Amino acid sequence: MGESTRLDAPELGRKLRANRLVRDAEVFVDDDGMITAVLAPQGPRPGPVLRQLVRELADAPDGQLRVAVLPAVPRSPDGTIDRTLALGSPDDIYLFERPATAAESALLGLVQQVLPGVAASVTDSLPTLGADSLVTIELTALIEEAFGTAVLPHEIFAAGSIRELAATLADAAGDPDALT
Amino acid sequence: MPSCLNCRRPPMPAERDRTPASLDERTREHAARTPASPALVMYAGDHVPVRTWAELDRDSGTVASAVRAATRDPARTVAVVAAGDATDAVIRLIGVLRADVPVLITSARAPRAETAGVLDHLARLGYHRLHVGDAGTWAEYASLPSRVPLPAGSVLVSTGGSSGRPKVVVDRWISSVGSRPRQARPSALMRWRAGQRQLVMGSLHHAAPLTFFTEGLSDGNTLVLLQRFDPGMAISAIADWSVNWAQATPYHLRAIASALPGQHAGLASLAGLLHLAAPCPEPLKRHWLGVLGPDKVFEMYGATEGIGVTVASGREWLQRPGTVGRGFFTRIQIRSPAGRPLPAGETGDVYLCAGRAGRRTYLDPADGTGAGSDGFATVGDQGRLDESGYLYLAPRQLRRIQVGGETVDPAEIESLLAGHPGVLDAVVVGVPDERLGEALVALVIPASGRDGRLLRHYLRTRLARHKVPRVIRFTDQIPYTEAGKVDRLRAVQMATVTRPHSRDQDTGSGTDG
Repeated sequence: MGESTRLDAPELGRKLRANRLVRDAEVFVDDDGMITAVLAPQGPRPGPVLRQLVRELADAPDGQLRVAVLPAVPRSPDGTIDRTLALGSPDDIYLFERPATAAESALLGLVQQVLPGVAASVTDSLPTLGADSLVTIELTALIEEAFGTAVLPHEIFAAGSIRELAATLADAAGDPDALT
Repeated sequence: MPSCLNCRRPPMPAERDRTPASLDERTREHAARTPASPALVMYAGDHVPVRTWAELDRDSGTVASAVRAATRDPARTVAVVAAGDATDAVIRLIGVLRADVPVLITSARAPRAETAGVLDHLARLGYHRLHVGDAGTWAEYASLPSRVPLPAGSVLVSTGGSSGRPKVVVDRWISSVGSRPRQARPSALMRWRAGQRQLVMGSLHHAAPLTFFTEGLSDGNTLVLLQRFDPGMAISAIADWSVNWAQATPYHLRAIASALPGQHAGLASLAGLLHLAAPCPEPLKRHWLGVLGPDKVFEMYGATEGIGVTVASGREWLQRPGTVGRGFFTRIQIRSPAGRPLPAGETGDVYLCAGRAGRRTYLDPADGTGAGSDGFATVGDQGRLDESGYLYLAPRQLRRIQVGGETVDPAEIESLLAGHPGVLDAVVVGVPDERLGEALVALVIPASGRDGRLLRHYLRTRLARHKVPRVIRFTDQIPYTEAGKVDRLRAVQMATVTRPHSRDQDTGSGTDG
């Protein structure tokens, strides 16, 4: 994973700023190799869409990438990015994590069926990915079929993340080990 | 009660057997199954035109075909139709909705300039306009067609028309609501039944009446419309047609309540009554909970922008007086002015998320972000959540005015004014007054004429003396915030500027006392 530290942060920042979805951007790399892209989008853009853009342009492992979406890129008086402000609110930060369990993997597959074209992370909530009432009800039917567990559409909609929902479903299925 | 309602309808197919169908398909389906049943009732008391499903299907189908034939580029054409009070106008509107092209529904009561402003806005953004009127259809083409296509079946809703430049919301829920699974519709919580008799109150250019009208059409309801709102007429319509379900604003509820002293037998058929669109004063809410019982009264809070809704049943409200309910497929967050989430119990800006991330809210990209990158959006209301997730809206800024020791809620006077045919929009504010603390000033955009005495008489017959504004000032603009809410601070400034000799001002003397 050490290779990713060779990422050219200023170059990634330039590429992002040149993209039509992005009004302003800065990229910085921490001592531990974590790459942070701070974006101010052009118009209303869902966080997962902006995160996907960064993934495509960064060419770095997902585990070392995080995307902060803010109304404006916070800069210090000297023009450099204010890292504390950029990472100030966890709600504004989008990570990309792949499934870690069989239940997460199965659930993510179902989410991709009802929301094709959205690159979802298990850390995303369904409404953030664009799941409205209709999509949620479609997903409910798929979940019941795949997990054999009756769930209420409202519970699915209210779940904090795909990971959280997968854990609930695995618990309800009775034998979490069977799914991991 | 008309005899045709006594004939038995063939049973509706079970909900789970239904596949999503368009409004056009649904209309044909109802016409095939129950051709002679009443579909549309234009209630006016004495003369009541009724269209059966067969007639409605045939007549609106003709309009739909004409609209489809005249639409060359459906993704860049907006059908423009006026929400009128006559049967033909309603049939025309249904036809346009069946054609599944983007549609803008204009108010028949709006001044020509306001409608023209919205149409110019469409033209500037590069959309062709297909005018659908009683003289047929005719097109106006944009010289430089937009690069941004409009989705089929979208309904364009103009909001904040009195704030200067119109803001147009692109709605994709209204025309498809009836084809969604039952569980995805808020009406499922409100004792709505397919095939019921439904009273639609309010003009169809407003999102809420139009939504329930469209859903009722899709569900094969008998739709009862009032040719114009009159409380006595609403009561007779409910009684004569054994109406099961109705949606109303607090204004309608207040007017009907005052026209119905003591005896409520005529409302016995009502299984569900929904109110929305404005805060409902607590005494009025309690009155209706008493009249119909807590299981039949429902409340919804939401926005034309379609960013989310809450629903409260009467029972929930009695347990938590003042709540507007819990989110219906809607997440709610209360945020500080800095945008940080606040815990339960704390008051802040109300943010809603209905999972429509990435979909366009406004027609004009320049009209702001709609929703943030996390999918949450606000319309500028303040409120708090309790531990169980029930939302309570805070009295809005400058919402409570103290007149001579009495607290006045301007919403009450505003909703009355808004219900007057001579009023297009109105805001009521308090201005400093030495004797009373504050005195009420109404800023009114007239729909026609500028007779302050008539308006004052109208208010006097409906309000306690202290609630009748001392000054009614006619204006051509009411200030709105970016979020589409009345900017009360600016309205106070406008009201404080004294123009004692202006023709547009009617200064009464009867309310000083």
